[in-house]
Amino acid sequence: MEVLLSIAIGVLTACGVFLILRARTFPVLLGLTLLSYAVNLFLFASGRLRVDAPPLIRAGASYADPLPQALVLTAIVIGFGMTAYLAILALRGLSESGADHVDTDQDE
Amino acid sequence: MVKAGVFLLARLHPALGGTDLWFWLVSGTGAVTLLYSAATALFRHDIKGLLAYSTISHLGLITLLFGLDTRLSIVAGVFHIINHAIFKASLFMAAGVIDHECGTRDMRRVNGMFKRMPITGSLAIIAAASMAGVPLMNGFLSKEMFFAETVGHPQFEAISWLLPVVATIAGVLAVAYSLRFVHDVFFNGEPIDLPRQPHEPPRWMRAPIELLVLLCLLVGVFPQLTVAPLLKVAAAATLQGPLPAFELALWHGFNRPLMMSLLALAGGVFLYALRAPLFAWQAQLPTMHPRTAFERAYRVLANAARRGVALLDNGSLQRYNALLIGFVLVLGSWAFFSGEKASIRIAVQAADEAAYLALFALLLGSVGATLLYRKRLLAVLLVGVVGLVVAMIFIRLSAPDLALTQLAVETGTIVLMLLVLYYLPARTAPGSSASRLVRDVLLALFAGGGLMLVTLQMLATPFQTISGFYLQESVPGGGGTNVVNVILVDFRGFDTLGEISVLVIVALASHALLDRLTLIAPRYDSDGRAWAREAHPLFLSMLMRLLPALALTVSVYILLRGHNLPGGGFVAGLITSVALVVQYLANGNAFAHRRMPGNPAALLALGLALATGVGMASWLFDRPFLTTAHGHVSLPLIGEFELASAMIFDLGVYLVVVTVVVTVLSGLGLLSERAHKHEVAG
Amino acid sequence: MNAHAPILPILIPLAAALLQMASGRLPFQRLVGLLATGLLVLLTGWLTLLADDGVLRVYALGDWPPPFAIVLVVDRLAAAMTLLTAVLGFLVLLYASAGFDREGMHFHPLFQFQLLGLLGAFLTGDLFNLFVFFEIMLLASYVLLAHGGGLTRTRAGITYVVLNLIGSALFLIALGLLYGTLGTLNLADVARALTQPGYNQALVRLSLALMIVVFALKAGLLPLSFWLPHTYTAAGAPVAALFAIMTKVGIVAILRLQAIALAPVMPDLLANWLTTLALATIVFAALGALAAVRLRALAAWLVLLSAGTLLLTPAQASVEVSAAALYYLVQSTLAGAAFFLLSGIIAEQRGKVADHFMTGPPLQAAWLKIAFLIVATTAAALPPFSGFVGKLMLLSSLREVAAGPVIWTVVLGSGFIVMAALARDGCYLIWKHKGAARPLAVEPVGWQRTTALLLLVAAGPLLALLARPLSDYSGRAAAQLHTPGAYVTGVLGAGAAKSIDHEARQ
Repeated sequence: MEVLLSIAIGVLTACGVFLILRARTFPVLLGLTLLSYAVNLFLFASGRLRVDAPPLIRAGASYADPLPQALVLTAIVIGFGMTAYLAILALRGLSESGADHVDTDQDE
Repeated sequence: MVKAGVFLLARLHPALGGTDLWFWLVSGTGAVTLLYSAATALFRHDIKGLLAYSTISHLGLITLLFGLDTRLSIVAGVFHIINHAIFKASLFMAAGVIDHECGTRDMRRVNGMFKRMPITGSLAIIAAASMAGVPLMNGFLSKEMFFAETVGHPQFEAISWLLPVVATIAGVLAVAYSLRFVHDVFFNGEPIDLPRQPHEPPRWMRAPIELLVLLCLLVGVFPQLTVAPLLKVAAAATLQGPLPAFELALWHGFNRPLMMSLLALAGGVFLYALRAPLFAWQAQLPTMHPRTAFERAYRVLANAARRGVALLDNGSLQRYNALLIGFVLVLGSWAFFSGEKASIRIAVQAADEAAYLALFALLLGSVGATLLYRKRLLAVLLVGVVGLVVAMIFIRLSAPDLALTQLAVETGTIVLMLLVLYYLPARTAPGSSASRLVRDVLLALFAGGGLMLVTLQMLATPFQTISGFYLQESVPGGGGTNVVNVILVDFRGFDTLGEISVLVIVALASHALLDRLTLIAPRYDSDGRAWAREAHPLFLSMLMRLLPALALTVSVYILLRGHNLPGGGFVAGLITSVALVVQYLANGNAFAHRRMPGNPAALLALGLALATGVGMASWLFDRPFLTTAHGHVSLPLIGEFELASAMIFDLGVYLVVVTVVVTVLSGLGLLSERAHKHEVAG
Repeated sequence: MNAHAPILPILIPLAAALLQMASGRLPFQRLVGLLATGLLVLLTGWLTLLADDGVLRVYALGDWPPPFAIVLVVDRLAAAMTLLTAVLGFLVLLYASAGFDREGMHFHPLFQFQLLGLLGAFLTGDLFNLFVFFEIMLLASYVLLAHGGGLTRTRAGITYVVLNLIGSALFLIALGLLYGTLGTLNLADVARALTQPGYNQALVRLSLALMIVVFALKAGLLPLSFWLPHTYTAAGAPVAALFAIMTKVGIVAILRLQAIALAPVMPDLLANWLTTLALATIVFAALGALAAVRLRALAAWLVLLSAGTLLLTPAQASVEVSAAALYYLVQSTLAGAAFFLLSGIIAEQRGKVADHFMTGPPLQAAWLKIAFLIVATTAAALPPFSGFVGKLMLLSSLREVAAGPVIWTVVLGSGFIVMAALARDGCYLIWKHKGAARPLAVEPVGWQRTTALLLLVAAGPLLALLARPLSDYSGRAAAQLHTPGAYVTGVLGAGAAKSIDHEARQ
């Protein structure tokens, strides 16, 4: 299990980094999304991996580490906000830089 | 005034002296200043100009001495500071007298002054002799010491001949310009075309010069009786240590320094004799105003700097990213491998088929999206697949809350990306060069491989955590059985408050940035297929009108149970928003907008205020911000249940999440409405 | 209220933002903003005086015991930084309220959120919470950067956002590693855990190195500094002025991490590389200042230069150096901000030429020339203003360190370049006019902007006059910063810190 998760994190990171190094905004957006998956999984893994032990208090159970889960939840939501902002910014950039290309666009 | 800088140098000497760098920097600067300024002084026609350049030259000499950095050289430097102050001050005053009497300071016109002011002339001649380093004057003593120091300086054997040569040349120049001052001003025929008739100045104007010149002579002839105590104090303060043995005397015997002094005197006279051809040569040199020279030099430097900056920073985000990642890899590797590695015991848990299947799907999705990123729609869908797999991993590894959140966020992200995709021009990015590709692949592989190994190592390392406390205190202290939720709204509720602030800022940003933005709605997608023009499909829209009610019910349920079972404000908020988003997709903007609240900012404020207010309420009970309370409440029909103040906090979270998602997506939606109108109008 | 003092600097801007969002009317938003930041100045000033008793004020949120709760920690350094933020925030807001806030939507709440993020980052004692405040600070700065619109701002914005998103990912990896090895996120608890044997040192070192990279990215360390001049040049004048403190967040974070966690156990982690790169940053910034073609760009390069200078200090791990660094930090922040605000007004008064270094119409308001002279003298570190005092203190504290001569050469050399650039470029802005040109008929500067600018300009002479008490305070702040044992005891309670003091003494 540990090995598989490590491979998954490694592959997501590699793909994310490669896409971040592309020239256009869109692949960079994709790359940041993949990288954030990797980072969230990594942060989650810092509490170690447990199967069938959700941190819901009940009699006689053992629990996975709840703290990294809470942190990852925060990180996911913040990451979503950041992705949304970057998307908005990309659109704005498009609108502003596209402004002088309006004529050519209409010629199509 | 100008000594202040040298004084600083003297004060700094204890700190920095004694290094090669110090020698080159300080002595080098000193030597260049010494020679250049002495040569310039010779060619100045203005008396004060000559004296000013001479001063700079002497400061260069002192600087050189400090740079030599033998203990005696420091003493010599301090001694020369004192001597130079004495003779130069008297010379400047004499120059002032001459200027006052003649109305000009041009040495080509001010001649033959000795006849008109013999007393001032005599005084100035003595002071100038001191400046030239003529025996019996104080300047001679410190110059001797300077010469002595340049001979046999211990540093850098190979160039040990250079220092005495530099010193002698400087001596020659000093004699020459001193001679010029004396000869041009006081002799050399009759004055030419003076504005005033010069004669001896009033007594009080001469008095300070007389005093200083007397000092020149006294120090020069009886150094032990006059300056020695002062010098000892000053030199000791500079050295901050024991003084070296030195002797202040006129006569040290026929040694190298005396030879150099004599050579300088002879050379100076010779140089001055050659003045006519020299001045003629200097006059035909191209003249350049210093300001123009500065401006030109500055331009050259600025252009060089511009090229240098452009070389480092070409404005490419790709390069910045590559540098950041490369830097992290290098520094991270160093930090990691320079640390002591702990013994690692690999105790992996067995993986089942489902895990392998999930990994396979994840590989397929991420590698696929990476290879096919130019086919944008496909790439987005593949990233969506990866997100789903991540949610499944969370479920499998005992994190139901994370799985729910991941699913909801995933939906939002995909909708967002599709909206962006809709507007992006169908241009395909030019392919990267082969070398660039190799660089990027290498960086990606190192980053991925590195984090993979680090994950493995971390998972194999035993550790102790503070989490036991949360598990223990969740029910008794926090009033909830879902520990993750209790952490989010209670133990670390402050993080959550910050997190919803982030969301609120995103909503404000989308409102501010998308306002009045116009984009052209494309008629074709990036693969050349026409976008559907029809209204929103009837089947979908009918189905989806039922959804909000259902979604609202579900989210209220999830919100309420969140404290005890997987769920909570985030997930509930995201579910409600996803329902509203689907509503928007199915029915279009106009329909959705009629059902949207008016001022999103106010609603955002309400949600955030709820969360903050609950936190502040704890002040009433004299507890820190965000302290929670909980207790049993029994209501008719529903029965008895646990109610925690943290749940109101969670309600605030819910409100913020819904408003944010709706604001952002409706902002993008309005964009499309304007885009279509634009198209119709055009 | 005394007991709740540490949380108030965070709640005041939050409450102000909420009120401003609820109304949306500009005059109301201005009033609320100015009242709130004014209150913040008073509050943080009081906090700074309060903190001078040397007692660590720890505020455990939710009334849980540390390290389980998130804590806010007020020591002299944190209090002084909040005061600096508040003063800067108030003056910049005053300037922006003269009309800049009208150029886009939601300026006021975003401004308050920006302050909230900065203040939280200075106050928090929890590393994950620091991440959250960083995100608030960054996101608000992203939007403020775009305020006013224009393609340059959007382009600079995308660069800035993408780099910082990678930075955030790195921060999370670092936090995961730290939690995955030491099992805690509280800075004091981390410091305590580091002195216990048995953890995986390689992983912890990696984690801390990553964290330093994140802070260095904010601070603008070469080779991570390229975004900074572009971003600061593109931003509107008041926004850039506020940003003058953003690099300092990274520097203070490095200083604190070094003093509390690294110094006792792994002092080599910052060893030579940070100082070397800081020197390279200084050289790069000096070249940039020489190459700049407009005043705002020059100001941006000077911000980078002061950041590079400050980045020389953490690796020295010395009370004396840190003390000098704190004084330098305060004065360089205010001088940088003054420069940006001034460039805004000068650009406005010179019409089409704006703040480019070309001959143009003369300035309408003559006091601007004097203001420029004072700010330039301060920025060039010439006597007698605070820039000179700061640099002198820093240099004389750095003479004892191993790399002293090199540091001196680079700092003095770059200072010389900056002086030449300022002298030459100032001529164009102030004295060289086209023929007998008359000043352009532009809107008067207005009392808000005049007041804000004059107060910031006055900081140069004022901080020099107050050099003695200020440097005394920064000396005490540095001394407190460099006693990790007291920090750990203060946050976690007695008993936890015995081992760390022992380590630190060795």
